[in-house]
Amino acid sequence: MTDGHDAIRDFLDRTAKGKGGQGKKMVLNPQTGKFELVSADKVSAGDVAEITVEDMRSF
Amino acid sequence: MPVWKPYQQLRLAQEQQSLRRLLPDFTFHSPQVDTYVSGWWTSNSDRRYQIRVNLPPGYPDAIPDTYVTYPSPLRGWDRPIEQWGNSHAMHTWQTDRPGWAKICIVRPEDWSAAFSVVKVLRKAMLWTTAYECHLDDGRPIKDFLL
Repeated sequence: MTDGHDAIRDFLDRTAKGKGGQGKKMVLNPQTGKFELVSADKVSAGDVAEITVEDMRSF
Repeated sequence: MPVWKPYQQLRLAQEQQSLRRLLPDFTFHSPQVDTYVSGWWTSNSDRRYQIRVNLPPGYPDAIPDTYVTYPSPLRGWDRPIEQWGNSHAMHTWQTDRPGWAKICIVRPEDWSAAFSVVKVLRKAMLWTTAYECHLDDGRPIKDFLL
C-alpha cells in the first residue's frame, strides 16, 4: 500500500535531523511510481529502488 | 549546433534503456541536439507534476538543468517558488525559463558522470515531495532534504 504524505514527511524530517528511519527505508515503487516506506530488512544492498540517506542529504 | 559525440551517444542509449525500465513515464526528446527528458509524476499526495531535465552539450560530465514545468507557476507557501531565485533554503536556482521552477538536485561541485538521468529524476521527485512538505506549514525545503 502506498504511504501517505504524512508518513513520508515524518520520514524525511527524521532523516534530515539524523534520527534514523526507525527500522524503515524509503523506496520508489517501480510499479506505482510512488515512494513507500518498507522494513529495512526487506531492502537488499544495492537495490535500485532504494532512496538512500545520501540521496536525501546531498542537495 | 553541437551534436553528441560517439561516447555520448552510447551513454544516452544506455540511459534511454534504463529510463524505459525504471521510469517508463519519462521519455527522451530531441535525441540529436538540445536533448531533454520529461514526463509526469504523481506524488504520494496524488498531485501531478511535470518534470523536465535539459541535458547540456557536455553531458554526462556537465550537470543538467532540472525544472518543475507544471504546475506553472509552482506556488509556494507565501510566493511562487521561482521568486526564491538562488536559494539554499529551498534548493532552487534563479530560473532562466519564466514559469518553470529551476531546482537544485545536487551541488554542482558534487556532480560527476556517475550520476544518471534516472538518478536526477528520482532526486527531482524527492525535491517535489519536500516541496509539498513546505506547503503544509511554510517550513523551507532544507528542513526535509539537506
